[in-house]
Amino acid sequence: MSITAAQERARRYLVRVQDAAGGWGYQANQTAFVEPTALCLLALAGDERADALQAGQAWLRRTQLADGGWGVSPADQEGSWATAWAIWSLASTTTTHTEALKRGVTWWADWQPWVGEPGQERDPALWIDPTAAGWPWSTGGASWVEPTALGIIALAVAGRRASPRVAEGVRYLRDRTCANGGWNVGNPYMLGQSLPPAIPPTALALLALQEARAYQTEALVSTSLATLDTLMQQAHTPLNLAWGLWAMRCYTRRPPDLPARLCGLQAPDGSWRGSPYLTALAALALAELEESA
Amino acid sequence: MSKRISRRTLLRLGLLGGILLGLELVRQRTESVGFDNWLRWNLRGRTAWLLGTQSPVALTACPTYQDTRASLEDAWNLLAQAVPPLRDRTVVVKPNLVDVLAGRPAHTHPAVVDAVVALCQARGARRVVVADGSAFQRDAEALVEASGLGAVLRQRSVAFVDLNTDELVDTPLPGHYTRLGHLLLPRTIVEADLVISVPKMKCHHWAGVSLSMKNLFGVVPGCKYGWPKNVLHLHNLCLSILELYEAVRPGLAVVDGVVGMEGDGPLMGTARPTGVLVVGCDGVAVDAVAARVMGFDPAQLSYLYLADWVGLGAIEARRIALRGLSIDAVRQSYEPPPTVSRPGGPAVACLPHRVVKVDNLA
Repeated sequence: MSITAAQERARRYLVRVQDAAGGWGYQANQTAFVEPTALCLLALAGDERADALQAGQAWLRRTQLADGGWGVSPADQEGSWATAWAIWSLASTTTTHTEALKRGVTWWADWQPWVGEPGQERDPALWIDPTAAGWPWSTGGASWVEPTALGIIALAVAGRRASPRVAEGVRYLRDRTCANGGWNVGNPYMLGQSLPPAIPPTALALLALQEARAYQTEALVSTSLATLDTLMQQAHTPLNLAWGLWAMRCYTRRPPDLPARLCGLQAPDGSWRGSPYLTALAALALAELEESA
Repeated sequence: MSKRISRRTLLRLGLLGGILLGLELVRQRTESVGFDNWLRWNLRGRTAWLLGTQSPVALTACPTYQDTRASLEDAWNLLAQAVPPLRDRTVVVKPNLVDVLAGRPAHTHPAVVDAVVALCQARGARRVVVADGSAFQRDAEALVEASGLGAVLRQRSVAFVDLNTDELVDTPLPGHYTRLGHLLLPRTIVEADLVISVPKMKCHHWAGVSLSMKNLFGVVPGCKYGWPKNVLHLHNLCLSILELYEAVRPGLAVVDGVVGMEGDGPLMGTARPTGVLVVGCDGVAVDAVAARVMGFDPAQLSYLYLADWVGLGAIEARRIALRGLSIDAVRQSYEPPPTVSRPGGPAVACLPHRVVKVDNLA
């Protein structure tokens, strides 16, 4: 089956399983969450099925909290890392929700992580710079790789690439790089031992560095792409394959077997594992492939 | 007209003043946790201590992973009436799938999960699911397959639920050990009739050991609290262990001590063949027995000491009815986890320190 056909089936699946309120869950028939809804909107962007897109955007606007942030789902009434997904999605797919987007960007740019005191030395257990400030998962938390990468992308696509938070986020990512390149959750070392990288945070950090267009990241990107290349040789699940493929295609890498391996895991109903989240992710990875081909 | 205060009145006033002063001192000392919480923990803890009720724990030989089903059946029979009912119940089996690293036995071996699932199915459980939420990896499917659990799930026709992306239920935390107040917890856990904690026996560089109680960190959903579950560390690791234990209340614990992990757990330690399963309904007692098997004194492990003090379970040998093997027959000398002084880090250090002051809580 061609990549175009796989994408089309994926989009049809996403439209079919969209809930009545306009959102998507991690699994079909699950209550909607912000992260999968944002990913599904990104996957459907440019699609002629505008109704699904508009319903999803409206769901995001309705679930925005009074302070401008987003919880991870309507059950969560506290602003969170999911705000970055909502910004990324709205900024990339609509020009009509500008007020919601503006309030979201303001909230996100002001949301601070826990950081160490200025001048504080490297943490002796984790060997990290505690003063590097990315973004946390939840209020009061320390910075971690995934929300920081998302935060950089969100501000960049919303036109705030020059924000000092983006530059500081890049500094954080640089500090949290694993010994041989790539990223894990954000602990490259633990009590003197180096911890291995993983595909999703490595891919997301690479996407963020591309969006940031920061100076002097070429060596970091090059090393981490090589690490990702190695990690992808062992990848066999939709999540790892899709994240890795998305990042590699964005850097115009073309491992010939990856698209086929990912397409080979698509179910007859057009989904990957019956999950709107995985299906949107796979569709985005394949879409990047088509664009760069 | 002057009136003399009698000696008796003076004594009464002194007594009243003493009582008021005492109450004020207790109030001040317990201000950080609330007097009612302090009183509840004390009453529960001291009552359990005075009554001396014993918690049954089975310690059975399991030299290899081929022996897990027989070993678990032995434990089940040794526990006799002290096992939870399984018939017609929805059971969630919660292994430790924190990560799968070559040469590092960080996760519960699939053979132990298989034995627990088989036991539940054989005893008429209505539905059995295996569920976890890794603290380090988002790709649960990759972990399930790399750990060997996938084959077990297919063979037993059992589903795996990724607790990191399950539906969320706002759940009040009844223990009040931390200032968390409530957590959004996975529906699969909240609605289960019975949760069985199936951890790996291993050292942990922040908690000292990671056993059936620490294993519950995996129920905290990553989609809300992130990877890793750092919010629990920020609210004091040991107290968060107690908080989750009281909120989830697993009805059974089965510790995979066939091959444990010593040294720098939870991820980077080394294998330590130990050849046992530790099974029981009181997770505190199970963890205390497992800690003794590892060669540690449970009273020197902060979370276990506190769990006993607040009356969540028993760690004293006299309050544990040990069945099967004696601890001396299988006792090991696990290399303790490395420790490091961390300014601004977790308030509770690892071995061999412990928190004993009430006003250190919360």
